Amino acid sequence: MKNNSPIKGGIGKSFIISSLGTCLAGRGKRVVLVDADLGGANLHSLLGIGRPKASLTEFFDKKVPLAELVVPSGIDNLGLLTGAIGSLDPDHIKYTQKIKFFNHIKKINADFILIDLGAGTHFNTIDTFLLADKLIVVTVPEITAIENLYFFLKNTFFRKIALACTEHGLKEILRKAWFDRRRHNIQNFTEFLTHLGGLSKRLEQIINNQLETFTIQIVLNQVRHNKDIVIGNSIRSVCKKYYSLRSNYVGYIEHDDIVSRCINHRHPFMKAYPASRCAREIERVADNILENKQVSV
Amino acid sequence: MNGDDSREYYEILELRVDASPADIRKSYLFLKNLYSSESIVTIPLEDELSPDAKERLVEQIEEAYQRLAAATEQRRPAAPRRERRQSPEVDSDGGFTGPILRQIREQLDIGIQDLALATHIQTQYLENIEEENFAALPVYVYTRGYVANYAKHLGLDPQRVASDYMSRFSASRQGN
Repeated sequence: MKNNSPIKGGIGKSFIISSLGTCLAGRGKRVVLVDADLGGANLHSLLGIGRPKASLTEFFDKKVPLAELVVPSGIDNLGLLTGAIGSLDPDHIKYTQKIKFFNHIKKINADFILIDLGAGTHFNTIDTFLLADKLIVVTVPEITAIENLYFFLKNTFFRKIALACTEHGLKEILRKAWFDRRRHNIQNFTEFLTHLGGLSKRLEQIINNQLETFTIQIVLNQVRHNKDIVIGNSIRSVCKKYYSLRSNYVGYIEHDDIVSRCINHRHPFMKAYPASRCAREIERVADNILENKQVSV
Repeated sequence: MNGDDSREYYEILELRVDASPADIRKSYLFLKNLYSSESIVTIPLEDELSPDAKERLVEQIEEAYQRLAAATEQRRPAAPRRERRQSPEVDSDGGFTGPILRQIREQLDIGIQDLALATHIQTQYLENIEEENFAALPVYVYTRGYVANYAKHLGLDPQRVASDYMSRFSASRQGN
């Protein structure tokens, strides 16, 4: 993920979201890309433009309306709302600021709002993630990335349960169940959910509701061998069988050296190589997400 | 088998209830392999599931497949009564001969025309493969490719089927 290794860059979250944005904009949709990676915003680089002067810092510090901070990206129909490198510690965003930020994001006038999040499982990251109608995650065929993905999904779903419990005034019961988990010999995610659901009919209903309304869209990036394509299917199966979590495997992107060359030369990839295999794979990911379809292998 | 049970079996195999017999078999082989071996997808999950629970998962997959496969056969009264298939290993008893391949194809309810469409192999060649009409089949490399492709669409191991089948093909050609 972004901060994992300075040599390798990331697993390609920003590349994929900026490409998806470019792809949707190319179809005539009005798209706003929100770079909410508050620690390391760099979507502008992927779009081939300089760092915009307007950034989310102004929203948080000077209360400038969010809509005024959207700048042209150099690509028709595609606006960019950028984060603020280093100047904003995600820990210092107050709860009220966060709610205001969410409300303003929802009010942005566009067909699609794509939010790029930093790596990690900070609750601000997770809460922003949970805002979305389509929850997209990116991983690569590497054991560490896949492990991080499971960790992220578990944390995210717990957060979703916690928010729902708070809403129903059951926060204390959840907190108690969590502290008592060792005493009940609870070893893992599924056992905890089962235990929690067994505490009351109401909790069981909440958990089932939350499971019903949680579907992850999995994108597998940097595929180097054909045999790796099915890793997406495997992850999907594991999410269901181990965690009861639903997901769609919406596509894979093959590794191609021209991608990193484009990024280094600040050429937006989808504009530079629209007919390349990667670009076609991105288009298919967009189609699958929009049409609720999956890769068939 | 009642409707609820069968829905559960389809769910275990991660299929829609309208899945074809070929899809059922494909998904079964995929899941069985996924949960009975180690890969970068399952290694990070060691703490999540005890070895017992993992074994149960494989048993569930096995059971779901057996039940759905048996139900498919019951739905086809015209077909002669056959031994219930246990697993891919049993299929290969006595080798993947042409007639065995045809038998598997028929059990999976895949028509020869459908297979021709899916594999882009002419029906005539598919029939020659099933009849082991070696003389009417093309040269080694092509036939091997056809057989592997045929096997793949039945959810069988293409390498294994092809090398088994081609050993008889070669023997027959040498005999001439």
